[in-house]
Amino acid sequence: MRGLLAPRWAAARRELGGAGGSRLAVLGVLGSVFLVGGYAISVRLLRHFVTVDPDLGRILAAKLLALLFLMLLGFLIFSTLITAVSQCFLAKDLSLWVAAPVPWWRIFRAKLAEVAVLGSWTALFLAAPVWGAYGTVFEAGFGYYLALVAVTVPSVILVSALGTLVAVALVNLFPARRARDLLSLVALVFVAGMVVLFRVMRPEQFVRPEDFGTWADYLVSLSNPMVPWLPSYWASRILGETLGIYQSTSWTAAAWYMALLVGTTVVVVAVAAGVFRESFTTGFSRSQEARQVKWTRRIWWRRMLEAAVRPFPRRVRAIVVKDASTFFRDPSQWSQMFLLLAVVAVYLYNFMVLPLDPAGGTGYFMRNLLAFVNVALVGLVVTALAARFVLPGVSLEGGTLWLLRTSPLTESELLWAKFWGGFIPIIVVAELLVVLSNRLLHTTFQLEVLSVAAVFCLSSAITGLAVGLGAAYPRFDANDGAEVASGYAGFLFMVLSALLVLFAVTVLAWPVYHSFRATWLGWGVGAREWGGLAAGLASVGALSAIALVLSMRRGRQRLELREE
Amino acid sequence: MNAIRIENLRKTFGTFPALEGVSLEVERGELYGFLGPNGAGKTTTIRILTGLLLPTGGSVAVAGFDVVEEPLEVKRRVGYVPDRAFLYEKLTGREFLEFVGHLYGMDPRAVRREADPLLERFELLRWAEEMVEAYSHGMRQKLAMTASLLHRPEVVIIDEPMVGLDPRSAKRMKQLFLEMVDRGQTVFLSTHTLEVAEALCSRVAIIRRGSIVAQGTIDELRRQARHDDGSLEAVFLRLTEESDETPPPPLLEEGDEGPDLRIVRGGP
Repeated sequence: MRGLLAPRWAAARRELGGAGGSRLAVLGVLGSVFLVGGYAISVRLLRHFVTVDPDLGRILAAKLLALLFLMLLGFLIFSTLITAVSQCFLAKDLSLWVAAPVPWWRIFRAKLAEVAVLGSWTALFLAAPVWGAYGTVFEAGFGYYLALVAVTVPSVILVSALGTLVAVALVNLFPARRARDLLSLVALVFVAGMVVLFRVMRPEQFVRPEDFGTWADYLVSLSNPMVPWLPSYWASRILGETLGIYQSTSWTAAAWYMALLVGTTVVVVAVAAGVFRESFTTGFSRSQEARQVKWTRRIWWRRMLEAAVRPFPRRVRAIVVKDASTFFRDPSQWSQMFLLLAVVAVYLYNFMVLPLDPAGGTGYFMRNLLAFVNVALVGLVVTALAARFVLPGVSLEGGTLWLLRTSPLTESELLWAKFWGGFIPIIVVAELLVVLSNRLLHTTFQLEVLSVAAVFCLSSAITGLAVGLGAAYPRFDANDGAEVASGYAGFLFMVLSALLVLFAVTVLAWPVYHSFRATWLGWGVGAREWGGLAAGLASVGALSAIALVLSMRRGRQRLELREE
Repeated sequence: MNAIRIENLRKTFGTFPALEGVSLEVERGELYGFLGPNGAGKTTTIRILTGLLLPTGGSVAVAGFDVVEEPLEVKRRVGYVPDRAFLYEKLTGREFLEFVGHLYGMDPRAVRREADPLLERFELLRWAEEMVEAYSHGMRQKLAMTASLLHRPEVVIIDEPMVGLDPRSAKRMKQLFLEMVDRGQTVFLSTHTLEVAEALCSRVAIIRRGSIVAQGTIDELRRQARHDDGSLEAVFLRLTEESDETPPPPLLEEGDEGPDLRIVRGGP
């Protein structure tokens, strides 16, 4: 395995040891800030649970742990499946491996390791501060941290083997499709999975005890195991037992669930290896088939695209049309749209099921508070979209950059083309989210105006940040956009974007509060309130403009200096 | 005015000197060959000519414009075909040509007018509506060549023009080069195929270890190499031979029988 993965390992080491050293330092600092912040918030939340009502607090903490593992499982299944399709059938080094006299089991082992590492590190990183917080609040000993490792390792291997198994099976079950088309299926499966997961969790119940007949019913509902046949439940039980979170610790139960987890992992790895041995070669061969151009060659599609980009200069237009055509012909790209639809659906569903009194004072306050927080949430959705679809724009030019750089296209034209190609769909989605959620919340007029304008400013700045940072720190060797988004540029972009959103919410909070108060107290929104809102908005607009211009300039300068 | 004028061009990568004072001039309407062993600096020179690399020192002018001071003017007048042409896999051949045409400010009708005869000449017309991902290496090379000629460049720079081409396509490509020169276009080609250089190029430069070791017509090169009746290959080998060169080790040592390649037949 070390032999097959040696080139990747050497490349990573060189990247970190050379010019990447400073990047590693930046990543280290930012990562530490996230870990410490996440840990502090989680500790505070868990402490609050156990101090307000120790019995209910423990039940809630156990429930949260189970929820965390269920969410992790969902995330890991999706992430490893996508990684498995990509690593087992689309990776650039595969042709070399398959052509070489390498036995199947070495490829399987190396791919399983790649899928496990690449598909799980984000999830584990995100979960780490919460696990740490559980250890602190419940004063866990060494056994808990040992159990954490003992649970994490087989869980990740289990899910990675499952992802590899499903990826290999799907490639062989759908011979007419190419491997990349599978990603659309994967995305559909994920959407369905998310909906199911959401229904299984029924999070709204936990904040509405009045919906239960008695207090006892509520407690019983909270104490019920969540999907006990899933490995996520077994993992949460093992950790719960070692934490002493339940009324009485049962080491027998912990041992039983550990045996279940390890046993299932062994069985799934064995089945995955068997399927891999029988079907990998035929699947790999099928994944090479070319496909026909279909609807994106139709005249109506071309006309629609050309009409949409008519206001732009010819060269910018050419890039936008080319990007749109290649996007919709590449299932690994467009299938991500399903994710977008899922995010939008879940997002709006949340507003629909919120238990807010439409008439009362609390209801008024909560509705408008949520509408205000909604600006930040939409900003984060825009960040996620831009990270996945806009940031990789320059990197995905990759080998074809020679063509652009030897033509009379300037770096500035290239970046602005990437900007407009990303900004137009993003602003449509973002404003749709804001307007629809404001309607669902019956928010005030001034807040509606403010949120539409603020989201416009933030979306333009975030798109500019994505284009600029994507050009300044490109990854031309990346297999796909997701790999670019998970790199240094992606991390830096996420942090800067989140800071921008945080700044916007902070600056707008005070004028928004005053306009709320004026409306609630019946004073009416006067010139002073409107002036405050306008000043806040102007600050957001100014910072957004600065972020947009600076990041685009930075991207252009770095690209101009880049030698091919 | 020269089509290409390079004076004392230097380029270093870190501490490694890739080019050390390269100077050459290419006349308008000339077919100029640029030869040299692997790693001699051919591709580095070409990448500087096309604006993909910045020189460390010296000056380079193409079609009368300095590549550092006025890169866009140079790019408008140059067509470039790299040795390995990465193209957009998800575009059809025709869409790719339209895209390139737009980059050079051409309208779709002009692109079609220029592209169709070239596609026909390279036997690509019936593949024009297929996606590039279905193209073979040679087809990609021909498509890249077509794209580089769409805007009727004054200077065409080609790195290894015959790589991946079948004999018929190679013959058509040579014919095309000669027609381009007849029309007054300048062709600067870097190649390892010495027969191509010998048959087509009016002048040739040979680069070794980042310096030009000889340039002129084939006859002038023969004289420089003191190899009056030798082929270009013999001249090339003479001019690029290393003084400290040691013969390569034999593939098999004496007494070594090599790997056992006998076919073992199975079955009863």
